[in-house]
Amino acid sequence: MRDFIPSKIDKYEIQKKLGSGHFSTVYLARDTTLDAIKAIKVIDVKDPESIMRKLDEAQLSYRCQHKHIVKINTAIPIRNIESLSKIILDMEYIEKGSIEDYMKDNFVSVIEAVKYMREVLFGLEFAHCNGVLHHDIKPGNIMLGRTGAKLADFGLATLIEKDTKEFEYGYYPHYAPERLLQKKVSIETDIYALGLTFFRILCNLKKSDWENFKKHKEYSNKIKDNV
Amino acid sequence: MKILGFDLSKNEIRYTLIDGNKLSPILVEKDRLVVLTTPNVSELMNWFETKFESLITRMKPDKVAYRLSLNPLKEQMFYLTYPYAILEILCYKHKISISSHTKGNFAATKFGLTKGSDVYKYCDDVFGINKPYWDEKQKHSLLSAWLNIE
Repeated sequence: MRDFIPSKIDKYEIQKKLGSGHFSTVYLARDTTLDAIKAIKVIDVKDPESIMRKLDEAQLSYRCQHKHIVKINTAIPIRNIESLSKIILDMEYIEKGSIEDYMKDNFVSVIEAVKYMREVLFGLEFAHCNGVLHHDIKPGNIMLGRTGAKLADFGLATLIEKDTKEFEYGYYPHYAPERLLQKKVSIETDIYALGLTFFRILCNLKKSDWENFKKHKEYSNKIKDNV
Repeated sequence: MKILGFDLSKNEIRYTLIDGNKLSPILVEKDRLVVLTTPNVSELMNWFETKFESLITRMKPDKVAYRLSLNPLKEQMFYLTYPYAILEILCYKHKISISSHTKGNFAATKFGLTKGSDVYKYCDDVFGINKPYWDEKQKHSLLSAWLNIE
């Protein structure tokens, strides 16, 4: 069954679907007011009480405006008759897509990988300097722009002072040992996830390869068994 | 009042953050950063911009100061002079006042010492010996900041 793709949402003419997650879908769209191509993330809001949490992504991304972080232009709440139903995040569109997409058809050289990692580390350092933890660093969230690599998707990001002890969400295969053992998140757990991302890029381990990566699975299970 | 001082050399950035006032300055942080090795000057400038931006964002200084090397050779200019232009622009954007100093400005009399006194030794007396890399270059970044404290 094919996904239903709306032709227009608010002021955006939808051109194609770029990807989707549990609660959101990302589209390539034309902003009809500015005649500009954008990537828009449409987040479903079922529970009105979760609005503030859903807006966290926009607010934290906006805090981290940096050349190596995907830029968010605005957040637009969309209402239907009864209540608020969607939030649109208007973001810059990165044509080349993510490193994960790039790895499907290409090997990334060591020199390229080091360059991308250095750039993402700059972005991540900036986010940390602004008190933001990303929690979801993986090749799929590193975009390849014309001016270098950019960190994307602050959907699970939190403030450092707010949630450094226990945080349930994130990309499980990139969890640091202390996160598996004590559910502790910190600047270091983000850096660990980026280290694993670097390893995967160098070894060309795609998402499915990685999630089935025997040694990693055994290692994760071993840590979990020891809890 | 927080003052961030810089000293650049071919392979490294030295920076020192001080706080307090002229009579009782406090050393908050100092470090040495190894400069990116690349033959591409544009890439190098991008590196400097990102690094300075991170430091300014994290430390939020009230003032920035740096030690400028006089008469560098052409190939040294990419490391010793160009990055300071980037630092100047960043400070302008962040509305932080910035000033430059040469080695000659670090005169003993400016720090309340008698003429001819050793200012580098005086850094040890006031701030202690803060190894590693507590050398002349590091003290240049400290002295640049110290000159601007009120």
